[in-house]
Amino acid sequence: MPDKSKGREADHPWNVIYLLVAGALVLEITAFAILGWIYR
Amino acid sequence: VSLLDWIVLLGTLVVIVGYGVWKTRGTQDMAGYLRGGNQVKWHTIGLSVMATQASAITFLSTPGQAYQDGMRFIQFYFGMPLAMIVLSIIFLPRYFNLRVYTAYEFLESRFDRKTRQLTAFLFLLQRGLSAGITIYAPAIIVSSMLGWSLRLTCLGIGGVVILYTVLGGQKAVSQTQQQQMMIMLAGMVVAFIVVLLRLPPEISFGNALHIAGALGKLDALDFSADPTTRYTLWSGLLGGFFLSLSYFGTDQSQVQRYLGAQSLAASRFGLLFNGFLKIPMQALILFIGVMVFMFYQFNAPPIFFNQSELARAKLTPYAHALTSLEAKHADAFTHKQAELWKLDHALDRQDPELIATSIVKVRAAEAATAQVRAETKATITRALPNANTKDADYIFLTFVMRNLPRGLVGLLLVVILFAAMSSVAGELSALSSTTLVDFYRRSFRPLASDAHYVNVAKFFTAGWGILAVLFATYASMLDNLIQAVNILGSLFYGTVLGIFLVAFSGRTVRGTSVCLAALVAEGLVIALFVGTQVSFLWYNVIGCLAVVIFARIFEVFFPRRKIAGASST
Repeated sequence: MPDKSKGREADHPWNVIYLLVAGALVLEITAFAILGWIYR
Repeated sequence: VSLLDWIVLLGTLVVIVGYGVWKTRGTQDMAGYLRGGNQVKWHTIGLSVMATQASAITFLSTPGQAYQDGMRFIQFYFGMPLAMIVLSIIFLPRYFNLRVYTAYEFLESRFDRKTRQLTAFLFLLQRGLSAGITIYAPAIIVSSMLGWSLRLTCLGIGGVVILYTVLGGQKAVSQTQQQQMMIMLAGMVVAFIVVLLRLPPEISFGNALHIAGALGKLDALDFSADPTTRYTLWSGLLGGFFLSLSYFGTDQSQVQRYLGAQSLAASRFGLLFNGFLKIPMQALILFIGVMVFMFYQFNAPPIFFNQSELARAKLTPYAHALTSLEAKHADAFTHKQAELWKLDHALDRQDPELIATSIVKVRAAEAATAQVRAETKATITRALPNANTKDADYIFLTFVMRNLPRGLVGLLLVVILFAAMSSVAGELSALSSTTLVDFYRRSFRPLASDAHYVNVAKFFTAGWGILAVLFATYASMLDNLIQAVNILGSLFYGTVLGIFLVAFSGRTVRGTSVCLAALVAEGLVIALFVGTQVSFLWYNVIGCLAVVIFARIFEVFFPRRKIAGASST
C-alpha cells in the first residue's frame, strides 16, 4: 500500500508549528508571571 | 439530585455510549480492533489523548487544589508542550515506520524480547493498578456525596466502560472519547460561568482577583530551587517534560491513541493540539477552583467539605467539640467577611495605604479560619483514627451540588463520570493490546487468525476491566488522590523512558545492559521515594538519566559475544 502520509508530511511547515507551540508556552508562563505580579 | 438531573445524566450517557457502539459495530480484524483501522483523524486523536489523560480526579481534585493552594499546580504541565514537540520529531516517525501495535513492540526490533516484555510488564503493573484507582477515586467521592453505594458506583462506571470497550475496541474508545471530551469542556465552561454569576454582585471581577491574589491564590509561579518543593517552575519544566515524554511517548494507554492515526501528520497534529491546549484548559479548571474559593469568602463554607465523614465523627463523643468548633468557624467567617468588605471598599477607593492595611487584616482573618479548620481536622482524626481528613477533593462537588441549577448538576455529574470512563476505556484497551501483542501473540500463540486475536483481545479487555472494578471496590482510602496516581506513575516512568531513549540513540547498547540498567535505576528511584523528600516530579529525570548512564557503563563491562540484534528476529 503506498504511504500517503509521506506526501502530506512535506506539505506541513513543521518547524513553524513547533515554534508556535513553544512560543505559546513562553507566552503562557509570562502571562502567569504577570497575573501573579499584578494580583500579589 | 433532581429528576431533571437524572434525565440529563442518563440521557447523555446512553446517547454517547450508544452512538459510539453503533458507529463502530462489526469490527472484525485485529488492526481495526486494536488500532482503529488507521483511519482516525487528527482532531479525534487530539480529543482522545486529552480525554485519556483527564480523569475524573482532574475535575474533582484540581479545583479543590486551587481552592487550598492556589494556581501553582499549573506548573506541573509546563513541560508538556515541549515534550509533544520532541515526541513529534523523535518518537512518532519510528513508531509509524514499523507500524507497531504497541510501543513495546518497537523495543524488540531494537533490543530483544526480554527488554520488550520487561517494559510491557512494568506498564501492565502500573496501569493495571491505576485503572482501579481511576474508577475508585471518583466513585468514593460521588457515592459519599450522593448517598449512592460505593460498590454499585464502581460497578456502574466499570460495567459501562467494559461494555463499549469490549464491543467496539479502539474505534469505539476514540469515538466516545471525542464526544465525552467535548461535553467535559462544555461542562467546565458552564461551571465557570455559574461560579462567576454566584459571586456577590457588589464585588467587581477585578476586586475578586485582587482579593484572591492577596490571599495567595493567583501566585502560579514558584522559582524556588528546593528539590523537596513539589511544584516549582523548574520541576514543572524539567520533571514535567520527562514525565510527559514518558507518559505520551511510552505509555501504551496514550501511544494507542495516536497509533491508529490515518497518517503521521495526523498523529503529530493530535499531540501538538494537546501541547497547545492543555495549559489553558488546566488553568481554567484551577481558576474555577480559585473562584469557588472566592464564592466561599462571601458564603459560609462548611467547616469540613467531606460531610459524610463529619457526620460520622459527630456520632462519637467528640460531637460536642465539633459543634463548638463550628460555632467558632462561623464567628471567624463573619469577622473575615467584615474585613473583606473593608478591603473591597479600599480597592474601590484605590487608597494604597488602606489597601495594604486591609490586606494584612484579611490575611490574619483567613489564617484564623484556617486554624479552626485545622483544629476540626485534628478533632475528626481523634474521633475517627482512620478518617481521611483531606477534603480538597470534595470542595468542587459540594459547590456544584449546592449552587448549580437543576439540570446543570446532572451535566457536571456527566462530566465527572465521562472523565472517569474515558480514562478507564483508554487504559483497558491499552492493557488488553499489550497483554495480547507483547505476551500472548509473542510468546504463546504467534500464528493464530485475526478473528482469534480479536476474540482474545475482547477477553483480555473484559478481564482487565473486571480486575480494575474489583481493585476499585476494595481499594482503601488513599492520601490526596491526584497525587497518589501521579506518584505511582512517576516511580516507573523515568526508567521506562530511559529504556526508550537508549533505543532511539543508536545501536551501541544491547538488551542485557539496558535491562540491568533499568533494574538499577528502578532501585534508585524506589530508594529516593522511601528515603528522601525529593519531589516526585524529579524521579522522572533521575530514573531516565540513570538508565541512560548505567546502560553505557554495563555495555563496557559485558563483552560482546554475538552481533547485536541477532536475538531480535
